[in-house]
Amino acid sequence: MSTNKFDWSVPQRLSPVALIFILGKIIKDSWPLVLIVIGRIIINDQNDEKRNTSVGIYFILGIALLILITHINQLINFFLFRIRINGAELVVTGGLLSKSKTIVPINRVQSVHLIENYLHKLTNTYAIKIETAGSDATEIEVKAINKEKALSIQSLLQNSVPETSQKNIPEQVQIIGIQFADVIKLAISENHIRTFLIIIAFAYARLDDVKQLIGFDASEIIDQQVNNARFSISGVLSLLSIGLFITMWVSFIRVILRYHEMKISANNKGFQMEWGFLQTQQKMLIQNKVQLVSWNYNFVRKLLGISILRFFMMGENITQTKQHIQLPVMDQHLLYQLISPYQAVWPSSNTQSNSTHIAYGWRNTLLFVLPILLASSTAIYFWNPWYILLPLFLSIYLAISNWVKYQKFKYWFNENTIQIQKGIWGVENILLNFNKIQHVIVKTSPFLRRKKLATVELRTAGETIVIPYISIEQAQYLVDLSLVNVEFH
Amino acid sequence: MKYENHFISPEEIPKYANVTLQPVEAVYKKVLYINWGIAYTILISLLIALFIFIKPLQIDWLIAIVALTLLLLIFITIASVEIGFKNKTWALRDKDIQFKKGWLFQTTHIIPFVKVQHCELVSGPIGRKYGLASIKINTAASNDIDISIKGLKQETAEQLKAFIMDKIEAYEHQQI
Repeated sequence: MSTNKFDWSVPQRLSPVALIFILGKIIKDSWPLVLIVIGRIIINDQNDEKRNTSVGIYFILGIALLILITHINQLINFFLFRIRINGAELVVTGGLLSKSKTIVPINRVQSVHLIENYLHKLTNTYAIKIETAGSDATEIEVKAINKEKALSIQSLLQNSVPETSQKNIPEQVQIIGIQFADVIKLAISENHIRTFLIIIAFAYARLDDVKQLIGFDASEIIDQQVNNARFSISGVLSLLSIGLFITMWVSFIRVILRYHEMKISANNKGFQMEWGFLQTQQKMLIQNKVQLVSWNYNFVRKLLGISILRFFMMGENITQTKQHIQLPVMDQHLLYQLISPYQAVWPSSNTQSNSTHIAYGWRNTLLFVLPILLASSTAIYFWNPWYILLPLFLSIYLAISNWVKYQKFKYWFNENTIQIQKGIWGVENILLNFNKIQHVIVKTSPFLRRKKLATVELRTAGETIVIPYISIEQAQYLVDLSLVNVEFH
Repeated sequence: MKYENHFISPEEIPKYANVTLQPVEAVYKKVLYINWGIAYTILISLLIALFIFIKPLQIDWLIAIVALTLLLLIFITIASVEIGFKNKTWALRDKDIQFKKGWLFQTTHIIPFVKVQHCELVSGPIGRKYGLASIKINTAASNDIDISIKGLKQETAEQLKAFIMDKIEAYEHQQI
């Protein structure tokens, strides 16, 4: 059944709005160059008037021309871009000099991502990103296309996905709506230490940019100022509170940008998600493409009953955080509801928990932390004996976290699923259906063999799960069980 | 779709560890030594050239340390080839392929055929001279780190590839 009023067998063009995006990109890509050109002219004028600047300028103009040519290709692409559906295939053509044709079998489509920023909102368009499964995840990007066309192709592609066994969910039900109060809760419970480090890294990178742009080192001035300042307790305290304030504020903004007005609705194919503050994003999560699910919480979030749920999809690029499908879940019942299409029976609810061998708690400390501590302490001792405290505290911290990691690592499994709980300061739960496993690895070292232990790695198309230091019999049983699920179902 | 979830008793589950693994071709050890020999010859010639042409490097203790490190490396290489070679084994089951390797750190890889995306036959110049080839197997979980079984006879590798390709086709056919 299709309610589509567009005939997708006829090639569809981009919306003229896409041209604005392409021009925007050219300006965005070229601004550092323009700035450098202006900067050079000013500096050359000031420093030495006799120097021949024309060579430098020609060189820069040459690069600018090159960039323009590459963008001209994009401009031409705008006019030649066509997208259509040919039987069971999605076909995208484009290019003038080097013609390109991307063909994606529709059943390989993993998700259709609709993005709407303010310009899209104004012009009644959407950007579409189509992700496909496969080892080198092909991606189709449509910069701007008429809103109705975008929704029509999304529903078309979604309908081509084979039905999962979820028959009990009605047509389309909204199951999550993040309210403003929830955003506040999420902001408070963010990992502020991480945010603080991000701010520091960002500030440092910007400092470096400024240095390159204006040609002198601002850090010297900062050093000088810091040396001149007198440190008093109240000074340090006020600095700390300013830092805390900025960190909280940044956390708040980050949370708003990420989760503002998040809506999730479920239908019999999967979940439809919508979120975003400045730019609205819509993502379709097809249930049978989910490889594994994980949910985590830190101490504060546990108190508030919040967990962050993440779906690991097939072919997802783990390093690209933008692609991650993660959502805040404000209560336990909802968490269960969201996970149940993937797996309704959590092994932790009806099976006994298993732990790893105690060596997992101290061996990394003994093998890596202690030798590094000894070597660094010896070196530091000759420099300033008091500074030894620094590696000492760091080592104690690492030793404790290794121990906590061992203590928290638990796993449960039944005939179809394995559940893992792990973490150091927070807790992460992972649920993996054995039939999603692609490749199993059993690893041993001389120590593990002596203790009759092994480490099992379960690789899926989304993420690898490691179960370290378990008895060899259990490892073999887990592997056999995984293989039975993959090979006989 | 019908709902089925049969109970399987632990005894019924096929055990991967009970499979007898077979070693790779004995002549592959020779290929390994030749490969390492070439690598070390290049390294040693480079080092000798460095010590001859750069005067400040001609210090007795530095030369001694470099020579000792090199000897140690050669020793470790020989040990890893000798012992590691014994552990390079593989086995084929009806529904998956198993490969074991490693000297100190041993790993056993098992890939079910139903998940194999493609499989390649690779042969290098030295291996080809001795009639050897290797098989590379990729799944959707791979980032070039999947199983690569080296040191197979050319014919065995070809048969293995044909066998795996047949399996992939059969599974794809089933899915359609």
